[in-house]
Amino acid sequence: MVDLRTFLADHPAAVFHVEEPVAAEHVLTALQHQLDAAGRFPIVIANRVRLTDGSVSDIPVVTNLTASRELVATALGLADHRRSAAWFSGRTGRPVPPTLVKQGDAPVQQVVLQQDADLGRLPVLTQHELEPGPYLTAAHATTRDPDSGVDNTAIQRCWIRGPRLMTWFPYPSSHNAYNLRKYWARGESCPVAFWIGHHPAVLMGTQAKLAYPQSHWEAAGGVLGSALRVVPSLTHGDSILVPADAEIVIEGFARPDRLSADGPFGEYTGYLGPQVTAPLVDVTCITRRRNAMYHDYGSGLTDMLVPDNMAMEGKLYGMVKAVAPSLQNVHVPASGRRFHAYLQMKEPQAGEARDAITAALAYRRLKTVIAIDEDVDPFSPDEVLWSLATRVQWSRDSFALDGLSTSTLDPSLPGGAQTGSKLGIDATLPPRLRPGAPRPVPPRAASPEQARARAAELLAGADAGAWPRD
Amino acid sequence: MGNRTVFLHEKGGNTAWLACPGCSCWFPVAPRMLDPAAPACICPACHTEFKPEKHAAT
Repeated sequence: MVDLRTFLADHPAAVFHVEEPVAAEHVLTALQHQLDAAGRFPIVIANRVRLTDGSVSDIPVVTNLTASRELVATALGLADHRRSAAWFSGRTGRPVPPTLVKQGDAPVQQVVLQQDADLGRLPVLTQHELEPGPYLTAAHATTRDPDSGVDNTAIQRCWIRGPRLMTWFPYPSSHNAYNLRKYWARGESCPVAFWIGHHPAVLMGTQAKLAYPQSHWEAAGGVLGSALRVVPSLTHGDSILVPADAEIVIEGFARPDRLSADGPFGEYTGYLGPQVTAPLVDVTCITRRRNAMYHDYGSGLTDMLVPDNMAMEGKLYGMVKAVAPSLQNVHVPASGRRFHAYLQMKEPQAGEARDAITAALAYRRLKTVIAIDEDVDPFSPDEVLWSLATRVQWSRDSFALDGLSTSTLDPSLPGGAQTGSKLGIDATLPPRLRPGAPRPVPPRAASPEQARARAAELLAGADAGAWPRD
Repeated sequence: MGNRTVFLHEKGGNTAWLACPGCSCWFPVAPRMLDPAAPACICPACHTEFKPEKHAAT
C-alpha cells in the first residue's frame, strides 16, 4: 500500500514525536524554524494538538515530512537525491493512467461528514505572526477544466473562516485559477476538492510541473511507476476524483464572485505575502480515514521547499536538455527559495552555456541561473561561490534579461510590476583549444589519489568529537 | 509636461501597510486591496473588517 502511514512506519528513526500537548498556534512552526537553522530534518508528529476551544484533537499533526531531500529520494526509490532531476524528468514524461476505486472502498471515505462537517475539528495550524488564523497548507486543491474535463491539482492555501467556510487562494497564473475563471465566466460555481496527506512519492508526483490542461494523476502514476488509486468525490462524483488513500478530503464549491480578504501569509520567499483577495469556498463534505492524520507543510521552510524544488529540477532538466545536450544535472537550492538554479554542464560547446541559461530563465519563478562545470558540485554552496569567484568576469559572463514573467511574490519587485529582471551567469571554464588538450586555465590544486586514500584512513580512526567546526 | 527624472537605481517597495482602526495593528496588503471595489480588509489580529480608503495607510 502506498500511503502516508506506510511511509511513516518504514522510517521510525526519522521521526520526532512531540508527545506533550502543544497549541495549534505557532509552536510547531517555530520548531521547524529551529530544526532548519540547526540543519536537522526529522519528520515531526505532534500527537496532542490543542485546538482553539481548548480541547485536544484526536487527529495527530504530521509536519516536516518532506524537509529532507534524502528521505524524499528514498520515498521515490532513489539511492541518491543528487540524481533526482534527470530521473524525475524522465518519469513525469511517462504518464500512467490512474485506477478508479469505488466509493465506499476508499480509505479516505471511511468517515463521511456532511451536515456535521466542521473544519474547526481539524488540528489546522496557525504558523506565523500576523497570519489571521489557521491555514490549510498541504491541501491539494483539485479542479477540472470544464472544456476538456482534465484534472488539475496543486497545493494552495486556505484560511479556515468557519465550520464550513474557508478562503482558497489559487495563484492567478495557476491552472486551478484558469479553471476557476472559466466556471465563473459561465456564471457557474467552481467545483473543488482538497485532499490532504499521502505518501511523499505521491506528493512529489502531483507537484510535477505540467502543461495546461494535463492530468496530475497520470504524472503521479509515472513517478510512482504504477497507477495512482483515485475515487470519485462524494459531492462532485466522477468530475472531481481524489486520491483514494489520502488522509482527509474537503469538498465544496467556490461560488461566482464571492470574495474575501486572505492573508497575510508566510510564503516560500521567507516573507509574509500581503493580504490579497481570494475566493470563498462553501464546504459541503469532509471525508477522512477513521484514524486520519493531518498533514501540514511549514510555509517558507525546507519542508515546503524541498519537494517543489526537486520537482522544479525535473522540469528544468527537461527544458534545458532539449537545447543544451551537455547538461548533466540541475539543482534548485533551498537557500534561493525557488529563485535560483544551478546548471551543471560537461564541456559545453561555444554558446551552449548561455543557451542553457536562457532556456532555464524562461521558467517563470527563476530569477538567477548559474551554469557551472562538471567538477563543481551543485549541492555545495561553497563550490558554487568558488566558481563565481574564479571563473567569472562579470562584463563577459553575466547577462540580464528584463521584462520576463516572474513571481509577483518577489519582495524585491517594484510596486505594481508584473515582470521582473533576471540574471544569467556563465561560470564555466573556456573550452579546450583542441581535443585531448587541457582546458586553457590553471588546474585545480589537488592531492594524488594514494594520498587521499591514506588521509581518509587516518581520519577514520580519529576521535573528532571535540574538533572545532568554525 | 513637467520635468520628470527617473531614478533607475533607487529602490522603492511594493507593499502597502494598513493600520487596523480597531486595534491599531499594522499589516501588509497588496495594492489591489486599496481599490474601492475590493472586498473589505480584515485585520489579522482582531478580525475587524474595514475599507482601507478611510484609514491609516503607508
